Amino acid sequence: MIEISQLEKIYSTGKDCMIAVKTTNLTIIEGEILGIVGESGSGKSTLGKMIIGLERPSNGSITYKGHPLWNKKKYNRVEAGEIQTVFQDPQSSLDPRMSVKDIILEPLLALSKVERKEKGNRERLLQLIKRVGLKEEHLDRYPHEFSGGQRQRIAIARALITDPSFIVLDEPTSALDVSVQAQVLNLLKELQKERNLTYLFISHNMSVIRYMCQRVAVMFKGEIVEVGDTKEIFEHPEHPYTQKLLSSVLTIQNDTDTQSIILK
Amino acid sequence: MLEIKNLHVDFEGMRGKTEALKNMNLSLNRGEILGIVGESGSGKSITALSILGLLEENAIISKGRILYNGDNLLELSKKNIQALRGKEIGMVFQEPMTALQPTMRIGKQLFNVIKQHRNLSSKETKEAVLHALRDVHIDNPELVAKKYPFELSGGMRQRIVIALAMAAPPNLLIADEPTTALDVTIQYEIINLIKELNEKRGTSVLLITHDLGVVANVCDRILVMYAGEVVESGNTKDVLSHPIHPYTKSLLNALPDSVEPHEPLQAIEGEPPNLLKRPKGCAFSERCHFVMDICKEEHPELKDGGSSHQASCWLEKVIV
Repeated sequence: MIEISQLEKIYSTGKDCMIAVKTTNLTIIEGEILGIVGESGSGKSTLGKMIIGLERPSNGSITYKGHPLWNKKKYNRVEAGEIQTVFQDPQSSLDPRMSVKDIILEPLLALSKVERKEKGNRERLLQLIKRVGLKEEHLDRYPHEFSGGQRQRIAIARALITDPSFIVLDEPTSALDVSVQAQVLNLLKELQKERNLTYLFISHNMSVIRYMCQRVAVMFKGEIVEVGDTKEIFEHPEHPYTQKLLSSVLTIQNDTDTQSIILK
Repeated sequence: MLEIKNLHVDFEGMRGKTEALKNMNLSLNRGEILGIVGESGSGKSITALSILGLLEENAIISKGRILYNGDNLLELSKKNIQALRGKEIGMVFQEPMTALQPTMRIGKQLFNVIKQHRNLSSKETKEAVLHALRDVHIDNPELVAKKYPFELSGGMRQRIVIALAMAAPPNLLIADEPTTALDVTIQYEIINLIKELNEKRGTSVLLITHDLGVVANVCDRILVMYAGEVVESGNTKDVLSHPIHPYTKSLLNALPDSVEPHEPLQAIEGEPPNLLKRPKGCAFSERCHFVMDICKEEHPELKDGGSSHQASCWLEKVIV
């Protein structure tokens, strides 16, 4: 579905330059959840932003179902609303002065008049907010009246209103508590199945990646050092960085009698 | 060495009184690492701030005592509390950048702290600075001492904050989410560092975190908090492998590691109660799978400060 080839992002000011993403090749297959894991500064968010058009690649190409997404300096939208995104922090990604209804309907402004009418009708809106776990009376309220988990549901509804095929999820649950994170992950997984969505799931949390993604790409210092089947990578990590990453995860060994808590 | 007895902290606001901490009891023994786990708003940070005398102006401590080596910290003057902070009790917070003075070189910051708390000559203090940096595993202390905070990575900064907190050296270290802003590999190193300092120097540690993985790997005992109350306490191993309180159980089950990828996660439905109007009975009753009539009517209490594994749940009381 998405083909990334020889993609590079270099930030430069004067003589200094910083390579955020080094020559990257990656394929995203239709209907899959592909995870990108890495630490802060590894380039995972920059990669996501180049796909949705928020950052311009320095070199290389991204094609979406065969269409190139970047034509020199210009981002070519395949079709409005086809690619959507959900960000990490629902506190800052929702306009505090817009009602929930306006927030959810806003992406439709990019669509044609006919489509806007069709996708923005009240019945569809109500169905959608119900599906993400919100209520009708929430529509006239403002973001500050909601908890973190509910705000992320609003952000998910906003992404879904245009009926996208592909969604970039950038740390969608990192700002949430464990119990709420579980609700949101379940919702995202169900929606993916129901609507046959394709996700690029960016996270630094290994357990979340293991749970959500069929395949995973490990990024380190701007490079994809390893990519493949999630289970395979978690069980037999090949790259030394992946090995280090996995061995650093502090987990609870539930059956402490057989597997004692590991440290060092 | 540290004991909190029946501590109640309220916040007075426009919409009424928020009971942020309700009947908190805690005891931390010398040389022990005690963990406080809970989600946002559970009262874990309020507990730390109460001990340090750093609560906001609008906070009211309506009841309770905080005993440090027998002295009630709540009755100490501001000056005396200040003397205790840093010297007796070290602190490490989540965001290392805000804890450091941005316009002063690392070496100077450490120098000031060590000079303040220890009776050393300037030459000895300089030595002590390098020593303190080496203790937190900084390989080239001379070089790092000359740097400003912004020139260092997040992990390095947090090491410096720990070095500062441990400089006096204190008998108690309070660490509030010390690794939350850090990457996994760095988190691992910082947690090991805290553990090592505890073992080497016998410093007691109060570790506050939302991360059960961190707790499992470093704490001797833990307290689980929910809606401003301790709902379960005991040895880390007992609590995590044989949780009693339905909240603790649900929390463990909600972790993505607890199921296979093809199974749905066991989320806790709903949200924690609004602390402005706390439910009459158990605070978790609205989200609990095992809720009984009594849970909604009467508040279950934790047996007073005992160190055994226990939970404030009617279910347990009925069975026992």
